[in-house]
Amino acid sequence: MAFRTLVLDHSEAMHRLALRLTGNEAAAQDAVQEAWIKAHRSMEKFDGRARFGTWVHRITVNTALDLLRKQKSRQRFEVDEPPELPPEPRNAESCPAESEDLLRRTMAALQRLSDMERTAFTLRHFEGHSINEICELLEIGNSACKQAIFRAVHKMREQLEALA
Amino acid sequence: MTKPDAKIEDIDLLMLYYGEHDDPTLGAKVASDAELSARMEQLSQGLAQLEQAPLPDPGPNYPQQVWQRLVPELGSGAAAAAAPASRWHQLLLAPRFSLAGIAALLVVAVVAFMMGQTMNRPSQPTLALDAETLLMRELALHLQQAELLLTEVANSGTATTAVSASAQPLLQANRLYRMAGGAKVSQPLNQLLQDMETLLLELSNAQDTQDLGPVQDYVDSDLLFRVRALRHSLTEENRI
Repeated sequence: MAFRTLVLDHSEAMHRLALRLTGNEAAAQDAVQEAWIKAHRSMEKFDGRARFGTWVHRITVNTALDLLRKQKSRQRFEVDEPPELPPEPRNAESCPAESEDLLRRTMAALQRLSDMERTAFTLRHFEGHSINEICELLEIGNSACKQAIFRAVHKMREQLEALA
Repeated sequence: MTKPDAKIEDIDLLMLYYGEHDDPTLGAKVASDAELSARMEQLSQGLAQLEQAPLPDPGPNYPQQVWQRLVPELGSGAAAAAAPASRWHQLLLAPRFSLAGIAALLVVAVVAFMMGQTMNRPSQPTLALDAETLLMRELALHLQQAELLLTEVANSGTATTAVSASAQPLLQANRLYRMAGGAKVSQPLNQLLQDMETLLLELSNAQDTQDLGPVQDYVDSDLLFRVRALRHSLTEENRI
């Protein structure tokens, strides 16, 4: 399998996913890098039943959440309050001023969700995974998955209205 | 999720929005009810608002940057994971040919070449020339390793685990040389690296005992000759 081709094809989607899960550009890049290393090491475990994109998204999710846990664990000893998480835009043309504020508010609202809510909602709403795929990816039941997405949407709407 | 007379909750509307509701009649029910339609509209607007905030574009070169950062990591891992099977296979995995080393060498070569192109100090062309010579010498050694593998394939005609395992680091090294070589290598050499990449990919994926008949013919009649000719040429030109 041409690993380089896979890296070139899937890295952007993995970066989007990791950025939404971590809310932090540096952490997202670390998560993508680490996810590819893990994918390379466990390539023989990919049995071809799932789509490669789904498989590598699962690795990205787990890696991003691990990074977040480590960050939170470190912050517990360093500072009392969580950091401000909205990322700095990297490309002014692709991120015009009117949507920049909304993006920062959305990212801030995402970071206030639980890991499960944020992951399930991101995968469903932004990445277009089906509920069944998310259940498999997060190893949770159908009802729990739907409830997590619902709670996420409810909290996001509250947050965005409050921040508007 | 909804029974005939059950109250339709927000979670039902949300699943309808995502096309994930179990009740196929829910859409019609919502459409025929003003209060439900208003709730659905409000929900849809809230969710659609999120779409107006796309993430910043990481840039067109982002995937390539990821790959460049990965190469040293994957190279050492791949070399460590491959099981030695023969003398030439051991030679391929020697530290001299580790991908991390190749990557570092190529970075030096490219940077030096660019400095030579853009700066006017008298010493720069010499530096660029040295780096290029270094790259060509490493390419000659790469072709020498490839020749050993191709000779094995031409003689046996059957894939083995050793052939496949040895083709993998060669494939990765070949890609690096092709990327780094760019305009600095001749067209025939560039074409050879492209052709070798296709073959090495096939050998990397070959199953144990798989018949390599068509590949064997191609290697024997064309590729091996070109590898030998260009290696000889590089060796002569660079006084190896």
